[in-house]
Amino acid sequence: MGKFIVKRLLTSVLILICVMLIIYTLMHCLPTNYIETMARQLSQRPGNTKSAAEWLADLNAQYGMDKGIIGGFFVWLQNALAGDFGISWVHNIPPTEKFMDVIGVSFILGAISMFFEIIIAIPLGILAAKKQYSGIDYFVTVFAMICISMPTFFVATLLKLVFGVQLGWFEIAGLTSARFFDTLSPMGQFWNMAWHLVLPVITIVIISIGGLMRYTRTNMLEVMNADYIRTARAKGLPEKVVINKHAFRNTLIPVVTILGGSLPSLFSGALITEQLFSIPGIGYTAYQSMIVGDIPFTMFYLTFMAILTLVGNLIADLLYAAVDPRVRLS
Amino acid sequence: MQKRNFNEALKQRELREREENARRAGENEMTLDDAARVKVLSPGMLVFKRFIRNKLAILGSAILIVMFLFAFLGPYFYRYGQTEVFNKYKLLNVNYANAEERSEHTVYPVEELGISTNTKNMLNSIILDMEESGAMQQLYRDEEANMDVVVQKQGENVYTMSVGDAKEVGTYSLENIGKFNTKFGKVAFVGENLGNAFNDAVKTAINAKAKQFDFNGGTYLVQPGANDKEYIILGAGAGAMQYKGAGMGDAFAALVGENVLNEVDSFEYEGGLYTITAAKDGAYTVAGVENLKTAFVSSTYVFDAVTPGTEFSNEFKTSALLAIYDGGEFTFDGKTYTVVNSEEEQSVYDENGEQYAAISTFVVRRYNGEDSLDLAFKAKVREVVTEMEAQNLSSSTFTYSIPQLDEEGMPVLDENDEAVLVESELTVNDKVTTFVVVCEQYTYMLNRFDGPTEEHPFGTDGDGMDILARMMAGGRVSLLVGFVVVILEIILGVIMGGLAGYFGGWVDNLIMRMVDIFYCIPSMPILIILGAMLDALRLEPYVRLMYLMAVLGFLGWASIARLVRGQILSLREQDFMVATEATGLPVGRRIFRHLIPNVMPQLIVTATMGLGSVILTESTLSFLGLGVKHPMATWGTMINSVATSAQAMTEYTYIWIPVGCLICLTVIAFNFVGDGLRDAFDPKMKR
Repeated sequence: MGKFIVKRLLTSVLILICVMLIIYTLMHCLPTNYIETMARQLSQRPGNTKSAAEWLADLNAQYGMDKGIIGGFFVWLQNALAGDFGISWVHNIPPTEKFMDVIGVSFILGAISMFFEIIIAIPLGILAAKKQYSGIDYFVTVFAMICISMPTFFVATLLKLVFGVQLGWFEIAGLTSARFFDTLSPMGQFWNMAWHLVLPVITIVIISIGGLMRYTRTNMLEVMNADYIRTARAKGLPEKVVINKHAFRNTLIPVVTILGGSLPSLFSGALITEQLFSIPGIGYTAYQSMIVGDIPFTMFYLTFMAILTLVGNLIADLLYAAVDPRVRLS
Repeated sequence: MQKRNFNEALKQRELREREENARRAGENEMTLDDAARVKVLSPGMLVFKRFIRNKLAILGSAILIVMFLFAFLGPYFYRYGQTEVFNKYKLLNVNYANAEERSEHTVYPVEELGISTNTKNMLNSIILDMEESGAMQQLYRDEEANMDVVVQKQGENVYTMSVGDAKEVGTYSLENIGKFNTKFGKVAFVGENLGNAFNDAVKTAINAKAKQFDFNGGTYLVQPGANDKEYIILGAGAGAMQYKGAGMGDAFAALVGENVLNEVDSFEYEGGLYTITAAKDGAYTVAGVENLKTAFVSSTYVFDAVTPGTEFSNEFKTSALLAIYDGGEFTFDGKTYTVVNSEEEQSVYDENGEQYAAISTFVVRRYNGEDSLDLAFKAKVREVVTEMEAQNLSSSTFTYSIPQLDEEGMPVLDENDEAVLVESELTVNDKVTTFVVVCEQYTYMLNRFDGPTEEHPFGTDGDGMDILARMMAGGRVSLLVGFVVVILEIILGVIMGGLAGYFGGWVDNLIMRMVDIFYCIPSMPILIILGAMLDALRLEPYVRLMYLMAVLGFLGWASIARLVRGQILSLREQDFMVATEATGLPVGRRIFRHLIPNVMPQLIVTATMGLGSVILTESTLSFLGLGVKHPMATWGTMINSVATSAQAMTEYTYIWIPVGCLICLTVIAFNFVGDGLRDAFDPKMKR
C-alpha cells in the first residue's frame, strides 16, 4: 500500500512537471506582439514609472522568454518551488496572496453546491434504479439528460431573467450589495452574501446533478443484478433490507470513490458560473487574468488546477481500495 | 417355420422409411437455413431493432434529423442570407436644420504678400481688440516677416489685413543727459552736470524699475543701455523733430513726442498711419505707411445662395465683401454684380438685376452642413429665433412646407419634377450656441433588434441581420465544429489507444503517461487563454474557427485513447486474435481490421455523446466571446451579443431564448441517441 502511494505520488509529480512544461510552452508561444502589447499597456497604467521598452525587457526576463523554452521553464519551476510565482499583472500582488483572498468564496460556493448535488442526485438515482422502467425512472433519466445538456450560460441567463429580473427575488451579479452592504450588521452581511449565492448555487447544481444521478442509477442497477442480491432475496429478506442494506451499501462504493475524487475540485472554483454571476472567487479572478494574458496568475492557476486533478485521481484510487476490500492495490 | 430375422425386418422398414422420406424431401427439400430453423438476425439488425424500441432514442434521432435539415437544407429554402443586413424606414424625429448667429470671423486670402502665418492667425484677436476699442485701423508688427501690417475695419463685420510701404518722414530725438552705471552709482553726464540730487533721483527710479521720472519739473526717461548694468537717461522736455522731406507741422511733432513718452509705436494722424521705431541714444525714426495692399479679408458674413446648391468661390466672396463698403459694385468672372447694403437687406444682385446671393451673419444650414435650404425658410427660422430670444424661450414650434420624403428618404417629385411640399411641424430648440430645427421625417436606418414580424419570424439582431437565417447558419457551424472535432479526437484516440493496447510494454506506458498528462491539462482555462490570444492576433473568423477545432480535437483525444486501449487489452487475449496471429496477418491489418471493428460500438457511443459536449464547449466559448467571431454566426455568439447586460437580456428574450433552446435540444438529442445506442449495443445494461 505504502509503496503504491509513493509510486503514484512520484508519477504524479512527473506528470505535473510535464503538464506545466506544456502549459509553459503554450505561454511562451504567445505571439511576441502580445507580450509587447502587454508591456505597452503596463507602461501606460497610471502610477507607472517604467517605459514600454523597459517593461518588455523586464517581462521577457521575468518569464525567461530570453532563455528559450526549456531554460525559461526551469527558471520558472525553481521560483515556483520556492513559492514565488511573480507578481500578477492585473491584481498587482503575488498570485498566492490574491489566491488566499478569493479561495474562501469559491470553496463555500463549491461546498454548498456539492452538498445539494449529493442530497438530490443520490436519492433520485437510487429511486430510479429501484423502480426501473417506472414513471419516476423515465423522469430521472430524462431530467438527468436535460441537466447534462444545458449550457451553463443558458441556465445562468434563464435564472437571471426569471428570478433576478422578472420576479426580482435575487440580484443578478456580485457577492454583496454594493450600495448598503457596509451598513448591515454582521448577521445581515452573512444573509446578504447567502442571498447572492442562491442563483450561482442553483446553476452549479443544475449543470452537475445529471452526471451524478446517472452514475448512481447505473451502479445501483448493476448491483441489483448481482448474485448476492438474488441470494438475499432467495433467503427471504424483506425488500427494504435488500435495497437499503445490501444494494445501497454496494452502490456507495463507486459513488463515494467518484465523490472523493471530486473533493479537490471544491477549490478549483466554477470558472464559467463565477464569471457569469461576477462572484469574486478563484474562477472569476482567473478568468479576468486569463483574458488579458496575465501570465503570472494564469501559470499559478493552471498549476493549481493540475495539482487538484492529480490529487483528485489519487484520492479516488485510494478511496476505492479503502472502501472496497476486494480491491487490492499492488 | 420361417425364421424371422427381426433385425432384417427392422432394416427393411428403416430402408422403406428412408425411401419415403427421400421421396417426401424431393417435394420439400430441407436445408440448413430452412424456415423450420430459428430465424437468425444479423447483429447489426439486432442492434437496430433494440434501438428503435427505445422511445427516447427515437425522439433524439427525430430531433437530430430536424436539426440537420434546418441547418443544412434550411438556407436553401429561406429567403435571407446569414450576413444580409436589413434596413427599414421609420418616421423619426430628425435634426433638420441648424441655425446660429455667427460671431466668428472667417479669413479669406486675397493676395500673397508674405505675411507670416502667426500674424494671420492673430487677425481674429486683433479684430476683437478693435471691436472693443472701436478703432478703425490698427498697426501690427509682423516680427517674423519683418513688416508692418495694417488691420482696417472696412465696415460692419468686414475687416482687412493689408501691407504697405514704409516711407520715412523724419527723426525725432530726445536730449541725451548721460549714462548711469549701477557699478559706479553715478551718472556720466554728456552735457551739463545736474548734481547729486539728480543722481539720487535716477537711482530711485532704477531701483523702482520705473521707466520715467520727474525732476525739477522736467520729465526724464530711463532706457536700458548696452549691458544690464547700464542705463541711458533721456530728457523728454526738449524733444525735437527733424523732417526728412516736407515738414508736417508742430502738431505732428507734439503727437510724436507724446507717443514716444507713452511708448506707443504707431499712431494715426489725419488719416495716415505712422510708426515710431527707436534708433540710438534717444533718437527715433518716424515713418508713414503708404500704398496699402490687402492680403486678407476677414468677415462674419455668410453667403446664402438664392438658388439652392450654388457654390461661391473664395474670390467671389472676397470681391463681394470688399465691395459692400466700397461702392457696391464688383466684377467677377467677367460679370458685374451689385451689392446692396441697407437696413432691410444685404444681398448681391447679378447684372440682370436679379438677386444672386444674400449676405447675413445669421446662418441656417441643413444639419449635415449642406446649404440646400431656400431663403424663405431661412428668413422664417430667423424670425422664429428672434422671437424666441425676445421672449426668452428655449423651444418654439412653427409650421412650414418642406419637401416631402418618400420611404427611401428621397424627395417626392410631382409630374413637373418639382419637389412636393408638405406642411410640417418644425420645432426650434435653443442649444445655447446654436438653434436646432427638428422635424419628423422618414429615415432609412438599420433594422436593429426588430421583434418577431411576418418578414422576420424571429426578429433581427443588433446588426439588422435576420435571426432565423443566422440560426440556420449558426447551427451549421456548431454541428460542423462538433463533427470535425469528434472525428479528429477519434483519429488521434484510435491510433494512440490502438498502439498502446496492441503493443503493450513501454509503448503502452509512454502513451498512457501522455494520456495522464492530457487528462491533467485544464482544458477550459487553456481554451480561454487561446481565445484571448487569438483575439490579440485578430485572425479572420474562418481561420480562427480552424484553430479552435484543431485545439478542441487535440485536447480531447485522451479519453478515447484510454477507452480503445482498455477494449483492445481484453480483446487481444481472445481466440480470434490468436487466429489472426496464426494466419500471419500483418500488424496493421490485425489492429485495424480485427481489433478496431470490435471497439466500434463503444466508439460510436462515445462519439455521439462527445458531439453534444463539443457543441456545448464551443457555444460556451462563443458566448464568452472567445470562440467563433462575428460576422460568422454560431449559436453561442448569437446569445453573447444580447445576453451580456441585464437590460439587453430582458429586452431581447426573443433572440436568446430560442437560440438557447436550439443548443439544448441538439445536445439533448445527441445524448439521447448516444444513450440509446449504448443500450442497444450492450443489452446487458439495457434499461
